[in-house]
Amino acid sequence: MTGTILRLNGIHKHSGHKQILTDINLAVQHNDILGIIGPNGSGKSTLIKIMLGLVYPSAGTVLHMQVMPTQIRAVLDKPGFFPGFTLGRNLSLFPGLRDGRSNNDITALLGVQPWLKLRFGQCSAGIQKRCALAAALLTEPKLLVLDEPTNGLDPTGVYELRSAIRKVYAEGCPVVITSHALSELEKICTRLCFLKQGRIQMLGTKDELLSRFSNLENAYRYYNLVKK
Amino acid sequence: MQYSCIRKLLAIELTKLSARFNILYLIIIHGIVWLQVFVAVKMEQAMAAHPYAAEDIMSVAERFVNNIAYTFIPVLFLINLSREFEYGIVHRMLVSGQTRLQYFQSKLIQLFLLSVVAAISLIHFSVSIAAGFNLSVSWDWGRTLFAFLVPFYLGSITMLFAFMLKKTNYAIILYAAYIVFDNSVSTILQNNGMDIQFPFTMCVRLLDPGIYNAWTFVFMAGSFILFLQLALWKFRKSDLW
Repeated sequence: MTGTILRLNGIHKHSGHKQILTDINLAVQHNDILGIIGPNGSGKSTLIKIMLGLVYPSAGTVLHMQVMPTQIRAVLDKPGFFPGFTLGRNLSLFPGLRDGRSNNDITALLGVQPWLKLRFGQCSAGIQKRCALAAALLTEPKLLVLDEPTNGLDPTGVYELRSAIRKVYAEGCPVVITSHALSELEKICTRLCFLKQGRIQMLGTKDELLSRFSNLENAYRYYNLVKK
Repeated sequence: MQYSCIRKLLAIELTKLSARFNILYLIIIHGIVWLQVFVAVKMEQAMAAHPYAAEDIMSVAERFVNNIAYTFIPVLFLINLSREFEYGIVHRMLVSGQTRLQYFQSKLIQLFLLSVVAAISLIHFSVSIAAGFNLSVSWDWGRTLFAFLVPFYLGSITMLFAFMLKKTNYAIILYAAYIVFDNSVSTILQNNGMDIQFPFTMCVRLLDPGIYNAWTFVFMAGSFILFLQLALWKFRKSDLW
């Protein structure tokens, strides 16, 4: 499978009088690990939620070209688990899990197995994040969308997350990821998109960026602090 | 909806309902109402001029089980639903392969299950208390059906409120305000000679023999469908931030 799997055409979003996104044109390719970078309040999470169909655009269209909306999996800011249930019970709750691949492989890969009998509310933010990622991976995604997945993760967690993303990507699943961890994005992404005040400042491959700037931090400074 | 899909949704909703909060809530409410029925039967039996029968227990039990059907079950449903928004469960369900329509259907299944609990409560009160007083056990299927229908019907209103507000506290306040509004307006209309009842008041009077007729059920079914359609429309159109 090649080509575009998801396309956003002329997306605008406002909430009340506040303009959140303006004229977003973006395509997710099949061979992408697309990183979305931007300061707080730049519209990254809204863009992600529009891709997922959780938030509707005020104008513009989202075209699902080679993927059904129900085949997209995501890790969002809220983990979306019952705090009173154990991790194992929470993981068994979601639709499609029973048709999915072996639970053990995923939980082992993400290192959540030792905590499966612990209540979700008692787990640290990092474990909760890993659990959310496990839930997303357990249902065989066709597109994986991650909204700031490294928040609250320790270095081991970040390493395991990176391994999981690479594994999923190697199996043919494109990934969209937002993060403030520039060094992580530099390691895993193939394309990058800079957002500022709801507008795309730059969209291109990592190689293009790195040939112009020596690293992502310089590019971030340029697009978010210098370029108006 | 396919049978396998219903089974899957049913399994998910049963797991959700098995949360400790739900079990404790139902046990405590059931216990309190059981005690109320027991004390009421004891007092009525002491004062009754005629020999006390199992049917009398059913009518007393029904009077009190209304508390469960009118208030506690719809409120429990409302809490469960709005909590799912607060915890982000709705978001996770929708990014785990469920469509908005399937999520809505799964909530209807939960409402159905909770309404069954209300009907079972009525049966349990009647059977256990009749047995306690050494009376023959009997129950009225019609009344049991009403004990099921009322929370199922009122649950459609709480569902609409939960989808509108998505916050537990606000949704409970709105439901309480609605009950007061419904009662007041119905009373005012009745005092002015107009026998028009709003959903909640209609349900309160539903179990009174002779009050309802075929039109009551037509109105009930019609408004039930209307509330569900509004709730579904609201849920489908709303942004899930």
